[in-house]
Amino acid sequence: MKKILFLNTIPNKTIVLKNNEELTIVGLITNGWEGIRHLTIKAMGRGAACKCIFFILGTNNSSYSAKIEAIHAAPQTQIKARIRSVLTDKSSCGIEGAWSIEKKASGADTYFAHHTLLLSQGASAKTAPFLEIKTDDVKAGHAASVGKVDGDALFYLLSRGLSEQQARALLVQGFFETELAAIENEKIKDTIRVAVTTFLSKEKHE
Amino acid sequence: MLTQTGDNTAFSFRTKTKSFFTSQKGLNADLIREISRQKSEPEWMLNFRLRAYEIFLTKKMPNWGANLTGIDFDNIHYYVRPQDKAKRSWDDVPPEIKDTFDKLGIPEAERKFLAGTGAQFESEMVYHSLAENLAKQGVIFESTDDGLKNHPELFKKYFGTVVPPGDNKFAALNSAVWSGGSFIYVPKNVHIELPLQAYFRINIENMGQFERTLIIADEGSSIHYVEGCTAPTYSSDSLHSAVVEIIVKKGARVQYTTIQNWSGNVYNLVTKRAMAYENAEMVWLDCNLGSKVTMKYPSIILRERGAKGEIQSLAFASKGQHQDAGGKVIHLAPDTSSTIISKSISKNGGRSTYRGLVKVIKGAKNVKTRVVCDALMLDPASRSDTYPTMDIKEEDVAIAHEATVASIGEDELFYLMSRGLAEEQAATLIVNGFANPIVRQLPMEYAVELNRLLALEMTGSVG
Repeated sequence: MKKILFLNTIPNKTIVLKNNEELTIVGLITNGWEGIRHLTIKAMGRGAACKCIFFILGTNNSSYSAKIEAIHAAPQTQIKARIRSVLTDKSSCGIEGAWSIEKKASGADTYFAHHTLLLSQGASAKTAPFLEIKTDDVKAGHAASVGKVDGDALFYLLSRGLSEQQARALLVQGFFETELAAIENEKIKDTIRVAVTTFLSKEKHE
Repeated sequence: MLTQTGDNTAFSFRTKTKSFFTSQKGLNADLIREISRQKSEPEWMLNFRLRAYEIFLTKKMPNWGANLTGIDFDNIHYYVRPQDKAKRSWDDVPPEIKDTFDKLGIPEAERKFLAGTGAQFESEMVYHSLAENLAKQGVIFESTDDGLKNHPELFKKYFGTVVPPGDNKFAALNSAVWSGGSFIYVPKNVHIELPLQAYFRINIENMGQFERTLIIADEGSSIHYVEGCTAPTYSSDSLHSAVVEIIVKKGARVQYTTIQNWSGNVYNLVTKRAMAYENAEMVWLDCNLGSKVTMKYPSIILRERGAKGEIQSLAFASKGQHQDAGGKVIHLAPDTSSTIISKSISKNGGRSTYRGLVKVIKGAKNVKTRVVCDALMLDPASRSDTYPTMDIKEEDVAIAHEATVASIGEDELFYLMSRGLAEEQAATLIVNGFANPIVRQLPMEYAVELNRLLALEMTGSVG
């Protein structure tokens, strides 16, 4: 059975997955919060799989801080998280991913990625993708990057006659699009695309 | 083709030596005064030591990282002095000590490849030679104790500036009881072509080594320093807690290479840090084998525009060992760049950990950083952890981090075995291939030694 959870924040929550349970969590996050949210995903049953895809659109001076904990406690489990954040103004995003694969979780397949695009001088990001692995029959990886809009790409689009706002919007859309492909629900995809466009036009007016 | 040695005893010999002065076990202010008196140090150094001791007493043990509960500070010799003076000529070195060095292969290495040797035996330099042309160029290469005596002003200006005693508990301990280590000054625009090397050994049971190394590369100069360790086996725990401070001035380049193979009971808790100025380049190449617990994170502070930093580390954790290693880079200026590459291997229940930090402060524009950590796990009992942190306060940056963890592939093993290799040989070959990107950057004779150590570690790993 496949389930999709569509959220507008990173919740303080513990999610437990049983045998062969499959869950996709999609988050479209535009409002920040104070303090650190704590989301835990536990794969307790054999064959459980969880996909987390979070899009963070940081505005104002909001802070988006969370600790996401993933525990592989059974064989053949999968927990994969992909987080993309775009930060403007003085917004800041701090994500700690605490991934652990326990001894009995052979055949675990795990991945954590957090990519951040900084769109303004005052924005800042902190990423700590932690990985603890207690057995060898696993596939594990993580990746993180922090950067700004690619100057060459921007120049190319401007030379093609796009305004700077349009060009930046396109690049940010592209930055999100890579993860959208993994979402099977068209309605959710469209909601996210619209949110990106309105987010960027708001950014321009401020 | 690989050769099988199968002989682990090669690195676990010990030689009987007579120490002139061995301190009582345990530490107090009187012992620190005694160390300082025996070394006839200036008063500021005694005060520095005593202040550091105060800090040591107030600082808590780190509550993160490896398990350090096995350290009993009261059961350690804090100072051992094998001879009255460090000697310059090889003929003056006592025969037992020479014998130990012979087993390590020092004389050949020194004669054939190296310009100078600072051989650390127990707590102090016993032997120090410096090729004449280096001395002529104004290069200073002495034991840290001699550096303090012979170049007091230069010494005082830089000592403790990169790693202050308050940095952490073990830096404070080292600052209080330090002894030995190397003091190197490379004058402006002098390039030392051959690597300088120092061999370190712990040779008395329960003896701690607290060496202190200070390297200053003046503007436009370059130096490659190599530190290699092979320690004999002991029956009870030993503590090794060094501090290495490096100052890389404008346009200078320093490479600091470590090959370490402590015996399985040594706690190796080292603070290594470099400060890089305008357009300077700092490279840490760190290979950690052996020891019971290693906690070591070579750090680079990129302080002025255009500075570059590189940290490459290789860790091998075997049964009962925890290698908690990594690196830290702090970008304080624009146009600075850094690379961290870490490779770790866990075998037979060993645990290897990468712990790293990349920090970019606001205003450090056009910073580029790449971090790659790869881990290889050889069996289900082993453990591998990765704890990287990226703290970025500036928009105009490009930061990338990636990590992978894998075990030896059945396909790879099968292929090699179908070519006629035994399983152990095949596994060794795969491990060598995994480590090769780091090993090949070592000076040739060290690369050979390290490959041999890896092969030794792999014997008996299969079946």
